Amino acid sequence: MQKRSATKRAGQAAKLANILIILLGFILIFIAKVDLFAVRTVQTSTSGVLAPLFDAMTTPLTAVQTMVDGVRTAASLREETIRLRAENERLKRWQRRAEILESENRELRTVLGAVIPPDREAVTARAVATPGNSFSHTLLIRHGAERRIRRGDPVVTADGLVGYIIDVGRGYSWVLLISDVNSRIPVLLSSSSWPGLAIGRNASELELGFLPLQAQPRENELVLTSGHGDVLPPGLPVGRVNRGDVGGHYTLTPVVELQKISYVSILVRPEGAARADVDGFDRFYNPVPEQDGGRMLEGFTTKDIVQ
Amino acid sequence: MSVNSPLDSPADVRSTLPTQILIALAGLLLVFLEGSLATWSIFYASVPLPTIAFIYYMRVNYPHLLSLPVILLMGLFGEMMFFDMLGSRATGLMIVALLSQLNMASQQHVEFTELWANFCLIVLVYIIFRLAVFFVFYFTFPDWRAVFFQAGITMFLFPFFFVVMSSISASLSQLFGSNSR
Repeated sequence: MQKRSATKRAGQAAKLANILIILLGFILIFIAKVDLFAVRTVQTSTSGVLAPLFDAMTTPLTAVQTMVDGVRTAASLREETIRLRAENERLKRWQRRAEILESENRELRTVLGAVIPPDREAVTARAVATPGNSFSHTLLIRHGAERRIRRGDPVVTADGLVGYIIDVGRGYSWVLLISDVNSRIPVLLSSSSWPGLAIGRNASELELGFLPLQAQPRENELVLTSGHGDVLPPGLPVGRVNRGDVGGHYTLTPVVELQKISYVSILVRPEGAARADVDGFDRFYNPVPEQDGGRMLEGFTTKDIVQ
Repeated sequence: MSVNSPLDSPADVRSTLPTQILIALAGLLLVFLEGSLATWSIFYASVPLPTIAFIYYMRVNYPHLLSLPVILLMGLFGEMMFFDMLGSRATGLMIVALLSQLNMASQQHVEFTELWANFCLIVLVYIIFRLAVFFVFYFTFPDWRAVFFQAGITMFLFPFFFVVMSSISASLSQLFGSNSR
Protein backbone atom coordinates (compact mmCIF):
# COMPACT_ATOMS: atom_id res chain seq x y z
CA MET A 1 0.00 0.00 0.00
CA GLN A 2 2.81 2.36 1.04
CA LYS A 3 4.78 1.41 -2.05
CA ARG A 4 1.79 2.24 -4.27
CA SER A 5 1.31 5.68 -2.72
CA ALA A 6 5.05 6.36 -3.03
CA THR A 7 4.91 5.47 -6.75
CA LYS A 8 1.87 7.70 -7.15
CA ARG A 9 3.69 10.58 -5.44
CA ALA A 10 6.76 10.04 -7.66
CA GLY A 11 4.51 10.11 -10.74
CA GLN A 12 2.88 13.35 -9.62
CA ALA A 13 6.30 14.89 -8.95
CA ALA A 14 7.47 13.90 -12.44
CA LYS A 15 4.33 15.46 -13.97
CA LEU A 16 4.92 18.66 -12.00
CA ALA A 17 8.54 18.75 -13.14
CA ASN A 18 7.43 18.34 -16.78
CA ILE A 19 4.93 21.19 -16.44
CA LEU A 20 7.56 23.40 -14.82
CA ILE A 21 10.10 22.76 -17.55
CA ILE A 22 7.55 23.51 -20.30
CA LEU A 23 6.71 26.71 -18.41
CA LEU A 24 10.41 27.53 -18.41
CA GLY A 25 10.37 27.22 -22.19
CA PHE A 26 7.52 29.72 -22.45
CA ILE A 27 9.30 32.06 -20.03
CA LEU A 28 12.33 31.92 -22.33
CA ILE A 29 10.14 32.90 -25.29
CA PHE A 30 8.89 35.84 -23.23
CA ILE A 31 12.48 36.82 -22.34
CA ALA A 32 13.40 36.68 -26.03
CA LYS A 33 10.61 39.13 -26.81
CA VAL A 34 11.84 41.54 -24.14
CA ASP A 35 15.24 41.36 -25.87
CA LEU A 36 17.45 41.68 -22.79
CA PHE A 37 21.00 42.79 -23.37
CA ALA A 38 22.29 40.08 -21.02
CA VAL A 39 20.58 37.36 -23.07
CA ARG A 40 22.10 38.68 -26.27
CA THR A 41 25.54 38.79 -24.63
CA VAL A 42 25.19 35.18 -23.44
CA GLN A 43 24.02 34.16 -26.91
CA THR A 44 26.98 35.86 -28.61
CA SER A 45 29.50 34.45 -26.13
CA THR A 46 28.11 30.91 -26.39
CA SER A 47 28.04 30.91 -30.16
CA GLY A 48 31.55 32.40 -30.17
CA VAL A 49 32.85 29.56 -28.03
CA LEU A 50 31.05 26.83 -29.97
CA ALA A 51 31.61 28.25 -33.44
CA PRO A 52 35.06 26.66 -33.99
CA LEU A 53 33.59 23.23 -33.20
CA PHE A 54 30.73 23.85 -35.58
CA ASP A 55 33.19 25.18 -38.16
CA ALA A 56 35.12 21.91 -37.95
CA MET A 57 31.90 19.88 -38.31
CA THR A 58 30.77 21.69 -41.44
CA THR A 59 34.06 21.03 -43.27
CA PRO A 60 33.27 17.45 -44.42
CA LEU A 61 29.72 18.43 -45.38
CA THR A 62 31.01 21.37 -47.39
CA ALA A 63 33.41 18.98 -49.11
CA VAL A 64 30.46 16.77 -50.10
CA GLN A 65 28.66 19.82 -51.50
CA THR A 66 31.79 20.80 -53.46
CA MET A 67 32.06 17.25 -54.85
CA VAL A 68 28.40 17.24 -55.94
CA ASP A 69 28.90 20.65 -57.56
CA GLY A 70 32.02 19.33 -59.32
CA VAL A 71 30.17 16.33 -60.74
CA ARG A 72 27.29 18.54 -61.85
CA THR A 73 29.68 20.99 -63.50
CA ALA A 74 31.50 18.22 -65.37
CA ALA A 75 28.19 16.88 -66.63
CA SER A 76 27.10 20.23 -67.99
CA LEU A 77 30.52 21.35 -69.27
CA ARG A 78 29.55 21.67 -72.93
CA GLU A 79 26.41 23.68 -72.22
CA GLU A 80 28.41 25.77 -69.79
CA THR A 81 31.02 26.62 -72.45
CA ILE A 82 28.36 27.78 -74.91
CA ARG A 83 26.67 29.82 -72.21
CA LEU A 84 29.95 31.34 -71.05
CA ARG A 85 30.91 32.36 -74.61
CA ALA A 86 27.60 34.16 -75.04
CA GLU A 87 27.96 35.74 -71.62
CA ASN A 88 31.50 36.83 -72.42
CA GLU A 89 30.32 38.61 -75.55
CA ARG A 90 27.57 40.30 -73.59
CA LEU A 91 29.99 41.34 -70.84
CA LYS A 92 32.41 42.81 -73.36
CA ARG A 93 29.60 45.00 -74.66
CA TRP A 94 28.74 45.99 -71.10
CA GLN A 95 32.39 46.74 -70.36
CA ARG A 96 32.55 49.20 -73.25
CA ARG A 97 29.30 50.76 -72.08
CA ALA A 98 30.62 50.94 -68.49
CA GLU A 99 33.80 52.68 -69.59
CA ILE A 100 31.74 55.34 -71.36
CA LEU A 101 29.45 55.72 -68.31
CA GLU A 102 32.41 55.91 -65.93
CA SER A 103 33.90 58.76 -67.86
CA GLU A 104 30.51 60.50 -67.97
CA ASN A 105 30.03 59.92 -64.25
CA ARG A 106 33.42 61.45 -63.43
CA GLU A 107 32.52 64.54 -65.41
CA LEU A 108 29.10 64.83 -63.77
CA ARG A 109 30.60 64.55 -60.28
CA THR A 110 32.88 67.49 -60.89
CA VAL A 111 29.85 69.46 -62.10
CA LEU A 112 27.60 68.54 -59.16
CA GLY A 113 30.36 68.54 -56.53
CA ALA A 114 29.07 65.25 -55.14
CA VAL A 115 30.61 64.12 -51.87
CA ILE A 116 32.10 60.65 -52.04
CA PRO A 117 31.21 58.74 -48.84
CA PRO A 118 34.10 57.89 -46.53
CA ASP A 119 36.04 54.92 -47.84
CA ARG A 120 35.63 51.53 -46.34
CA GLU A 121 37.88 48.51 -46.41
CA ALA A 122 36.72 45.03 -47.40
CA VAL A 123 37.39 42.04 -45.17
CA THR A 124 36.69 38.71 -46.84
CA ALA A 125 35.16 36.03 -44.65
CA ARG A 126 33.84 32.51 -45.12
CA ALA A 127 30.21 31.76 -44.32
CA VAL A 128 30.18 29.09 -41.62
CA ALA A 129 26.46 28.56 -40.97
CA THR A 130 23.52 29.49 -43.13
CA PRO A 131 19.87 29.54 -42.02
CA GLY A 132 18.64 26.04 -41.36
CA ASN A 133 14.99 26.99 -40.98
CA SER A 134 12.50 29.58 -42.10
CA PHE A 135 12.20 31.26 -38.73
CA SER A 136 15.54 33.05 -38.60
CA HIS A 137 17.58 34.26 -41.57
CA THR A 138 21.04 34.82 -40.14
CA LEU A 139 24.52 33.89 -41.22
CA LEU A 140 27.51 32.98 -39.07
CA ILE A 141 30.76 34.15 -40.63
CA ARG A 142 34.44 33.75 -39.82
CA HIS A 143 36.24 36.84 -38.46
CA GLY A 144 35.06 39.23 -35.81
CA ALA A 145 36.39 42.04 -33.68
CA GLU A 146 39.99 41.00 -34.43
CA ARG A 147 39.44 42.31 -38.01
CA ARG A 148 37.80 45.57 -36.84
CA ILE A 149 34.32 44.27 -37.70
CA ARG A 150 31.63 46.17 -35.80
CA ARG A 151 27.87 46.02 -35.45
CA GLY A 152 26.13 47.68 -38.37
CA ASP A 153 28.89 47.00 -40.91
CA PRO A 154 27.40 46.04 -44.28
CA VAL A 155 28.08 42.59 -45.69
CA VAL A 156 28.23 42.25 -49.46
CA THR A 157 29.21 39.99 -52.33
CA ALA A 158 30.18 41.05 -55.86
CA ASP A 159 26.44 41.14 -56.68
CA GLY A 160 25.25 43.40 -53.87
CA LEU A 161 24.10 43.62 -50.28
CA VAL A 162 23.77 40.43 -48.22
CA GLY A 163 22.93 41.99 -44.85
CA TYR A 164 24.59 43.68 -41.95
CA ILE A 165 26.46 42.67 -38.83
CA ILE A 166 24.28 42.32 -35.73
CA ASP A 167 26.69 40.70 -33.29
CA VAL A 168 30.44 40.44 -33.16
CA GLY A 169 32.49 37.90 -31.27
CA ARG A 170 36.27 37.73 -31.19
CA GLY A 171 36.64 35.42 -34.17
CA TYR A 172 33.09 35.09 -35.50
CA SER A 173 30.27 37.46 -36.37
CA TRP A 174 26.55 37.16 -37.03
CA VAL A 175 24.95 38.71 -40.10
CA LEU A 176 21.27 39.59 -40.28
CA LEU A 177 20.35 38.74 -43.88
CA ILE A 178 18.25 41.22 -45.83
CA SER A 179 15.57 38.53 -46.07
CA ASP A 180 15.11 38.29 -42.26
CA VAL A 181 11.85 39.58 -40.84
CA ASN A 182 13.80 41.99 -38.59
CA SER A 183 15.66 43.58 -41.53
CA ARG A 184 14.66 47.06 -42.72
CA ILE A 185 16.93 48.60 -45.37
CA PRO A 186 16.40 52.22 -46.50
CA VAL A 187 16.53 52.08 -50.29
CA LEU A 188 16.15 54.18 -53.42
CA LEU A 189 14.75 53.19 -56.79
CA SER A 190 17.68 53.51 -59.19
CA SER A 191 15.77 55.14 -62.06
CA SER A 192 13.28 57.41 -60.29
CA SER A 193 15.17 57.91 -56.99
CA TRP A 194 12.00 57.44 -54.91
CA PRO A 195 12.91 56.34 -51.37
CA GLY A 196 11.43 53.30 -49.65
CA LEU A 197 12.22 50.44 -47.33
CA ALA A 198 13.26 46.92 -48.30
CA ILE A 199 11.56 44.80 -45.66
CA GLY A 200 12.54 41.19 -45.01
CA ARG A 201 9.77 38.59 -44.74
CA ASN A 202 11.74 35.42 -43.97
CA ALA A 203 11.06 34.45 -47.56
CA SER A 204 13.00 34.46 -50.81
CA GLU A 205 11.56 37.86 -51.74
CA LEU A 206 11.62 41.18 -49.88
CA GLU A 207 8.78 43.64 -49.57
CA LEU A 208 9.26 47.12 -50.99
CA GLY A 209 7.35 49.27 -48.52
CA PHE A 210 6.87 52.90 -47.50
CA LEU A 211 7.04 54.15 -51.08
CA PRO A 212 5.48 57.56 -51.81
CA LEU A 213 2.11 57.31 -53.56
CA GLN A 214 3.52 58.89 -56.70
CA ALA A 215 6.23 56.27 -57.03
CA GLN A 216 5.70 53.74 -59.79
CA PRO A 217 8.51 51.22 -59.71
CA ARG A 218 9.17 49.52 -63.01
CA GLU A 219 9.49 45.79 -63.29
CA ASN A 220 13.14 44.67 -62.96
CA GLU A 221 14.22 48.13 -61.75
CA LEU A 222 17.34 48.00 -59.58
CA VAL A 223 16.95 49.08 -55.96
CA LEU A 224 19.96 50.49 -54.10
CA THR A 225 20.69 51.40 -50.49
CA SER A 226 19.94 55.06 -49.86
CA GLY A 227 22.33 55.56 -46.94
CA HIS A 228 19.56 57.07 -44.80
CA GLY A 229 20.16 56.49 -41.10
CA ASP A 230 23.92 56.44 -41.65
CA VAL A 231 24.15 52.72 -40.98
CA LEU A 232 24.72 51.44 -44.52
CA PRO A 233 26.61 53.31 -47.25
CA PRO A 234 24.52 54.47 -50.22
CA GLY A 235 24.60 52.81 -53.61
CA LEU A 236 24.79 49.11 -52.70
CA PRO A 237 22.48 47.01 -54.93
CA VAL A 238 19.77 45.32 -52.86
CA GLY A 239 17.33 43.78 -55.32
CA ARG A 240 15.23 44.11 -58.44
CA VAL A 241 11.55 45.01 -58.48
CA ASN A 242 9.10 42.26 -59.33
CA ARG A 243 5.79 42.86 -61.06
CA GLY A 244 3.50 44.88 -58.74
CA ASP A 245 0.17 43.37 -57.74
CA VAL A 246 -3.27 44.97 -57.83
CA GLY A 247 -2.99 46.57 -54.40
CA GLY A 248 0.17 48.38 -55.37
CA HIS A 249 2.37 46.13 -53.27
CA TYR A 250 5.78 45.57 -54.66
CA THR A 251 8.31 42.88 -53.93
CA LEU A 252 12.02 42.63 -54.59
CA THR A 253 14.15 39.70 -55.61
CA PRO A 254 17.53 40.06 -53.89
CA VAL A 255 20.39 40.54 -56.34
CA VAL A 256 22.47 38.17 -54.24
CA GLU A 257 21.53 34.49 -54.33
CA LEU A 258 21.32 34.12 -50.56
CA GLN A 259 21.16 30.33 -50.66
CA LYS A 260 24.53 30.10 -52.44
CA ILE A 261 26.67 32.25 -50.18
CA SER A 262 30.06 30.79 -49.37
CA TYR A 263 32.25 33.89 -49.06
CA VAL A 264 31.29 37.47 -48.23
CA SER A 265 33.01 40.82 -47.84
CA ILE A 266 32.43 42.98 -44.80
CA LEU A 267 32.83 46.70 -45.45
CA VAL A 268 34.62 47.85 -42.32
CA ARG A 269 35.66 51.39 -41.55
CA PRO A 270 39.40 51.99 -41.90
CA GLU A 271 41.51 52.24 -38.76
CA GLY A 272 41.18 55.65 -37.17
CA ALA A 273 37.93 56.46 -39.02
CA ALA A 274 34.94 57.74 -37.04
CA ARG A 275 32.92 55.00 -35.36
CA ALA A 276 29.54 54.03 -36.75
CA ASP A 277 26.56 55.36 -34.79
CA VAL A 278 26.15 52.17 -32.80
CA ASP A 279 23.66 53.71 -30.37
CA GLY A 280 21.48 54.78 -33.26
CA PHE A 281 21.79 51.30 -34.68
CA ASP A 282 20.73 49.82 -31.34
CA ARG A 283 17.56 51.87 -31.43
CA PHE A 284 17.02 50.83 -35.02
CA TYR A 285 17.43 47.12 -34.28
CA ASN A 286 15.71 46.87 -30.90
CA PRO A 287 12.15 45.63 -31.40
CA VAL A 288 10.90 46.85 -28.00
CA PRO A 289 10.10 50.57 -27.76
CA GLU A 290 10.90 52.60 -24.66
CA GLN A 291 8.07 54.52 -23.00
CA ASP A 292 8.20 56.49 -19.75
CA GLY A 293 11.70 55.26 -19.09
CA GLY A 294 10.67 51.59 -19.17
CA ARG A 295 10.52 48.98 -21.88
CA MET A 296 7.10 47.86 -22.99
CA LEU A 297 6.02 44.96 -25.11
CA GLU A 298 4.94 46.21 -28.49
CA GLY A 299 1.35 45.28 -29.18
CA PHE A 300 0.82 43.77 -25.76
CA THR A 301 -0.05 46.80 -23.63
CA THR A 302 -3.61 47.77 -22.93
CA LYS A 303 -2.51 51.17 -21.57
CA ASP A 304 -2.09 52.62 -25.06
CA ILE A 305 -5.42 51.23 -26.22
CA VAL A 306 -7.24 52.72 -23.20
CA GLN A 307 -5.57 56.09 -23.70
CA MET B 1 32.92 3.47 11.56
CA SER B 2 29.50 4.19 10.04
CA VAL B 3 29.07 4.77 6.27
CA ASN B 4 27.01 7.96 5.82
CA SER B 5 28.60 9.97 3.03
CA PRO B 6 27.50 9.23 -0.57
CA LEU B 7 31.18 8.95 -1.45
CA ASP B 8 31.54 6.08 0.99
CA SER B 9 28.58 4.12 -0.35
CA PRO B 10 29.25 1.42 -2.99
CA ALA B 11 29.18 2.50 -6.66
CA ASP B 12 25.96 1.84 -8.57
CA VAL B 13 27.36 0.03 -11.59
CA ARG B 14 23.88 -0.40 -13.07
CA SER B 15 23.24 3.37 -13.11
CA THR B 16 21.93 4.77 -16.40
CA LEU B 17 23.48 8.17 -15.77
CA PRO B 18 26.60 7.63 -17.98
CA THR B 19 24.34 6.44 -20.82
CA GLN B 20 22.11 9.48 -20.32
CA ILE B 21 25.13 11.79 -20.52
CA LEU B 22 26.35 10.08 -23.70
CA ILE B 23 22.90 10.37 -25.27
CA ALA B 24 22.75 14.05 -24.31
CA LEU B 25 26.10 14.58 -26.05
CA ALA B 26 24.82 12.70 -29.12
CA GLY B 27 21.75 14.96 -29.12
CA LEU B 28 23.91 18.07 -29.02
CA LEU B 29 26.06 16.75 -31.87
CA LEU B 30 22.86 16.13 -33.83
CA VAL B 31 21.96 19.81 -33.41
CA PHE B 32 25.34 20.63 -34.95
CA LEU B 33 24.69 18.19 -37.79
CA GLU B 34 21.33 19.85 -38.44
CA GLY B 35 23.06 23.22 -38.74
CA SER B 36 25.81 21.79 -40.93
CA LEU B 37 23.26 20.41 -43.40
CA ALA B 38 22.08 23.98 -43.94
CA THR B 39 25.34 24.71 -45.76
CA TRP B 40 23.99 22.60 -48.65
CA SER B 41 22.15 25.01 -50.90
CA ILE B 42 19.32 22.50 -51.49
CA PHE B 43 18.43 22.67 -47.79
CA TYR B 44 18.68 26.48 -47.53
CA ALA B 45 16.21 27.61 -44.82
CA SER B 46 14.55 24.20 -44.82
CA VAL B 47 16.95 21.65 -43.45
CA PRO B 48 15.46 18.28 -42.37
CA LEU B 49 14.99 17.91 -38.62
CA PRO B 50 16.90 14.83 -37.42
CA THR B 51 16.64 16.11 -33.83
CA ILE B 52 12.88 15.54 -33.87
CA ALA B 53 13.36 12.03 -35.25
CA PHE B 54 15.99 11.38 -32.55
CA ILE B 55 13.74 12.65 -29.74
CA TYR B 56 10.79 10.66 -31.07
CA TYR B 57 12.81 7.47 -31.39
CA MET B 58 14.38 7.83 -27.96
CA ARG B 59 11.17 8.77 -26.17
CA VAL B 60 9.31 5.82 -27.71
CA ASN B 61 12.01 3.21 -27.18
CA TYR B 62 14.16 4.44 -24.30
CA PRO B 63 12.08 7.05 -22.47
CA HIS B 64 14.27 7.10 -19.35
CA LEU B 65 17.46 7.86 -21.24
CA LEU B 66 16.40 11.19 -22.74
CA SER B 67 14.97 13.54 -20.12
CA LEU B 68 13.18 16.84 -20.69
CA PRO B 69 16.08 18.96 -19.29
CA VAL B 70 18.37 17.41 -21.92
CA ILE B 71 15.84 18.26 -24.63
CA LEU B 72 15.61 21.81 -23.26
CA LEU B 73 19.40 22.00 -23.44
CA MET B 74 19.39 20.73 -27.06
CA GLY B 75 16.85 23.39 -28.00
CA LEU B 76 18.73 26.18 -26.25
CA PHE B 77 21.97 24.99 -27.83
CA GLY B 78 20.43 25.30 -31.30
CA GLU B 79 18.97 28.70 -30.48
CA MET B 80 22.32 30.01 -29.27
CA MET B 81 24.23 28.61 -32.25
CA PHE B 82 21.83 29.64 -34.99
CA PHE B 83 20.43 32.86 -33.53
CA ASP B 84 16.97 31.39 -33.41
CA MET B 85 14.16 32.89 -31.31
CA LEU B 86 15.08 32.09 -27.73
CA GLY B 87 12.85 29.42 -26.21
CA SER B 88 10.76 28.64 -29.28
CA ARG B 89 12.84 25.72 -30.55
CA ALA B 90 13.38 24.40 -27.00
CA THR B 91 9.69 24.54 -26.10
CA GLY B 92 8.77 23.00 -29.47
CA LEU B 93 11.14 20.10 -28.90
CA MET B 94 9.79 19.54 -25.39
CA ILE B 95 6.25 19.43 -26.77
CA VAL B 96 7.49 16.87 -29.31
CA ALA B 97 8.92 14.81 -26.44
CA LEU B 98 5.69 14.92 -24.45
CA LEU B 99 3.60 14.03 -27.50
CA SER B 100 5.94 11.17 -28.36
CA GLN B 101 5.37 9.75 -24.91
CA LEU B 102 1.59 9.61 -25.33
CA ASN B 103 0.52 6.01 -25.88
CA MET B 104 4.17 5.10 -25.55
CA ALA B 105 3.43 1.58 -24.35
CA SER B 106 1.33 0.82 -27.40
CA GLN B 107 3.76 2.54 -29.79
CA GLN B 108 6.54 0.14 -28.87
CA HIS B 109 4.66 -2.72 -30.49
CA VAL B 110 2.92 -1.07 -33.43
CA GLU B 111 3.72 -1.41 -37.11
CA PHE B 112 6.25 0.89 -38.70
CA THR B 113 3.65 2.73 -40.81
CA GLU B 114 1.77 3.66 -37.65
CA LEU B 115 4.97 4.96 -36.09
CA TRP B 116 5.63 6.96 -39.25
CA ALA B 117 2.11 8.43 -39.18
CA ASN B 118 2.55 9.44 -35.53
CA PHE B 119 5.86 11.03 -36.37
CA CYS B 120 4.31 13.03 -39.24
CA LEU B 121 1.64 14.29 -36.86
CA ILE B 122 4.28 15.33 -34.32
CA VAL B 123 6.31 17.17 -36.99
CA LEU B 124 3.16 19.02 -38.01
CA VAL B 125 2.46 20.02 -34.39
CA TYR B 126 6.07 21.22 -34.02
CA ILE B 127 5.89 23.31 -37.21
CA ILE B 128 2.48 24.74 -36.28
CA PHE B 129 3.79 25.66 -32.81
CA ARG B 130 6.80 27.44 -34.29
CA LEU B 131 4.62 29.22 -36.86
CA ALA B 132 2.32 30.36 -34.05
CA VAL B 133 5.20 31.75 -31.99
CA PHE B 134 6.61 33.47 -35.09
CA PHE B 135 3.21 34.98 -35.86
CA VAL B 136 2.82 36.27 -32.30
CA PHE B 137 6.26 37.90 -32.54
CA TYR B 138 6.01 39.46 -35.99
CA PHE B 139 2.33 39.31 -37.10
CA THR B 140 3.41 37.67 -40.31
CA PHE B 141 4.33 34.21 -41.53
CA PRO B 142 7.62 33.05 -43.05
CA ASP B 143 7.90 31.54 -46.53
CA TRP B 144 5.28 28.76 -46.63
CA ARG B 145 7.12 26.81 -49.32
CA ALA B 146 10.25 26.57 -47.19
CA VAL B 147 8.26 25.61 -44.10
CA PHE B 148 6.34 22.88 -45.93
CA PHE B 149 9.49 21.66 -47.64
CA GLN B 150 11.19 21.35 -44.26
CA ALA B 151 8.24 19.49 -42.75
CA GLY B 152 7.87 17.29 -45.86
CA ILE B 153 11.53 16.37 -46.13
CA THR B 154 11.63 15.52 -42.41
CA MET B 155 8.61 13.24 -42.76
CA PHE B 156 9.97 11.72 -45.96
CA LEU B 157 13.35 10.96 -44.40
CA PHE B 158 11.89 9.36 -41.26
CA PRO B 159 12.45 5.77 -42.50
CA PHE B 160 16.10 6.66 -43.12
CA PHE B 161 16.49 8.20 -39.65
CA PHE B 162 14.68 5.22 -38.14
CA VAL B 163 16.88 2.64 -39.83
CA VAL B 164 20.06 4.52 -38.87
CA MET B 165 18.99 4.89 -35.24
CA SER B 166 17.75 1.29 -34.98
CA SER B 167 21.06 0.04 -36.40
CA ILE B 168 23.10 2.17 -33.99
CA SER B 169 20.89 1.09 -31.11
CA ALA B 170 21.19 -2.61 -32.05
CA SER B 171 24.96 -2.35 -32.46
CA LEU B 172 25.37 -0.64 -29.09
CA SER B 173 23.09 -3.22 -27.45
CA GLN B 174 25.24 -6.03 -28.82
CA LEU B 175 28.44 -4.30 -27.74
CA PHE B 176 27.41 -3.32 -24.24
CA GLY B 177 24.34 -5.44 -23.56
CA SER B 178 21.58 -2.86 -23.11
CA ASN B 179 19.19 -3.46 -20.25
CA SER B 180 17.75 -0.01 -19.99
CA ARG B 181 14.75 -0.43 -22.24
